Amino acid sequence: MSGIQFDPEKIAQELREFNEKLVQSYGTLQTLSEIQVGQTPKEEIYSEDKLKLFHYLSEKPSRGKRNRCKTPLLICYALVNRPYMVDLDPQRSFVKRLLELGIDVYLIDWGYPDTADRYLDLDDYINYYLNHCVDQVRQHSNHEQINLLGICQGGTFSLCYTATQPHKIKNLITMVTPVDFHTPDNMLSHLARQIDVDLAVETYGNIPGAMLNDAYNALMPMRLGIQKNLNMPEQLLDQAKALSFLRMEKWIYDSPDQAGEMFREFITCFFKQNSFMDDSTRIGDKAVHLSAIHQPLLNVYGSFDHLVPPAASKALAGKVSSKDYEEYEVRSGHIGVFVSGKSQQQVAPHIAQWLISHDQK
Amino acid sequence: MTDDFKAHTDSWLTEQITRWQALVSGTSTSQSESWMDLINKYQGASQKDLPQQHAELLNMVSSQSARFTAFAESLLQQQGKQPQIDSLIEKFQHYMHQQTTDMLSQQWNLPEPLASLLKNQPLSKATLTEGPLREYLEKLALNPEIASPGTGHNPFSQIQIRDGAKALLDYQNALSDYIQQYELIFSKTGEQLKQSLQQDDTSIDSIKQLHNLWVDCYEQAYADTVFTDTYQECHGRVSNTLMQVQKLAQEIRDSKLKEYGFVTQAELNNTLKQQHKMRKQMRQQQTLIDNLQQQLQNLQQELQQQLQAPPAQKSPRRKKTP
Repeated sequence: MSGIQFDPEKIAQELREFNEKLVQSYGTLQTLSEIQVGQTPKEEIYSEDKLKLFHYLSEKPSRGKRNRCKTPLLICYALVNRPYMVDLDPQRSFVKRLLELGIDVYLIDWGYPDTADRYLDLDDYINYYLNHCVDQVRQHSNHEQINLLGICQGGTFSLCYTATQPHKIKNLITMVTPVDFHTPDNMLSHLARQIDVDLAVETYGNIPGAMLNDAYNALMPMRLGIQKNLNMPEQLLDQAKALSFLRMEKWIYDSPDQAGEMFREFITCFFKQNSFMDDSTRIGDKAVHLSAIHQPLLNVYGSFDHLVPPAASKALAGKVSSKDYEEYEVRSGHIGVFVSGKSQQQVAPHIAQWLISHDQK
Repeated sequence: MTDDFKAHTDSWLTEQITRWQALVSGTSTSQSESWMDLINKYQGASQKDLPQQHAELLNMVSSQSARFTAFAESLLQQQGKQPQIDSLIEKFQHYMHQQTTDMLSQQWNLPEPLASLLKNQPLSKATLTEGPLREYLEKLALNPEIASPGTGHNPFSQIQIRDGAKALLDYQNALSDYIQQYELIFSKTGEQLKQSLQQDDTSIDSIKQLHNLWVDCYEQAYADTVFTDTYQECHGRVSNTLMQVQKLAQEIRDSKLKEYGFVTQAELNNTLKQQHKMRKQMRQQQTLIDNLQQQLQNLQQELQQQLQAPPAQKSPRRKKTP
């Protein structure tokens, strides 16, 4: 027996409702101007080439009202997509929540690389740019050591950095960070390993951001394509819902190009050679040994992350020497860790609490 | 929404509803203005541009809606006859196939001149591996001189023509193998959809539910296929051969630029590479200078401390006693 029963009257009704929503969504779009993101107040404290380092301005809490973490936190975001994902929506801003919870936050914005940046490599990004940002935060906050939080590829960078400059980092947090790039469930890695990365860099120079977007969409092509488009009128019915949806869309398609040499090295070293796993990572002239990391470490991952599967992040446990190592599972996908209700209610508070409790140690 | 436009959309919607009712009751009805036409007309008249992001989204959602509406209308035209499950699946697969093929064409943006030649033909294995274009490319790969017969002038060298033809053939072969994988995913999706629809606990009574079920089936079939070596190899080949074609096109462009005395991309890259190398050297030297400065400062401080320190008291000389 077929589980499908189409009633023409009902289909006509469905069509009517669908088209009513379509009309309404057009009306909503007309009331909205350019979408604003990254609205939490911040000041630029340092810039170098395309990079900018921001310090978020937090209100001074009334005395004794709340515990504050004295050690500042530097967020190192990935080079793909833009860092305002941590401050996408004023109502659901990960950074804003951290500030409210007593964390002093700094953020690296890597900028948009152009032709002049084609030969920037991992050495430039990690041993120079990231190092300079860490030094700037140390100087600005007057702290010898700072806390470092790396997100996704930024987590991979943070691991490399902490392993080579351990004296500057007090506590390390990795979020949705790939460590083992060869777990069997890592679809992106399976596909990336077949790409001739040398040819890609020779052909494009910098790797177009749109190409990376296509690669991410290809992980769930119909869910992220046809199904999303079909559900869109529903998402645009009223202003609040539409703003939230449009902010996310803006972020998804705001993809900077990737500096060619950096991309070549990252794909070769991590996606192809999986160098963390056999301890063969080298960044510039520095050998990176994850075992050199003794800092307290909080490793946050999403249970349903299709870009960085949990196993890829959890592989960190056996690689670092941190005696104080904690894994924190968030029941969400890659982005949900930062923008969902859970992020506001659970993730940011857990991180803040962890940082505060490790501040005096 | 302005009052004027609201009145237009309301009247458009009323017209559509009447049309759908007519389709349900089997009365003949004419094609009415499409949603996209309505929007274009309004946008043109009002001169009011939406921000780019909104306009792009509107385009996307409008074309998706047009397809959804067309499929729903085709079901309405059956006038109450319950479709057989096989024919419904076939019809739905066909409808989704059109959409996914468009997506595929965009994803594997075909290089010129292949794109222009295939513009009005469906993207399929046959289109790529048969026909006059294919035959001509095969001939060019073997005998590039046929591109400039007799006294005819050809702006490309024979090596460029041969390499270009070979690269295009490689790309066509890779794309054709990739399309086979894609068809495999499609057929697995159809089988899975049929199985799901035949399960007693599945109850579908709206097109949206059918869409959602189809997407679930597709993603499952896709994930199963992507993790196979064959798919990964095909995906890699289609990406790499496309890049090879693009790289050759750039090399040809570079050779022309050089011929006319312009700076080529390769020369620009070389300069950027040198510049980057010098930047690194400068940084290393700066670090060295900083370290030396620090050492010098430390030494100066030590020296100053030594100079400022009170002279150490000498122990009184003992008088020698005779």
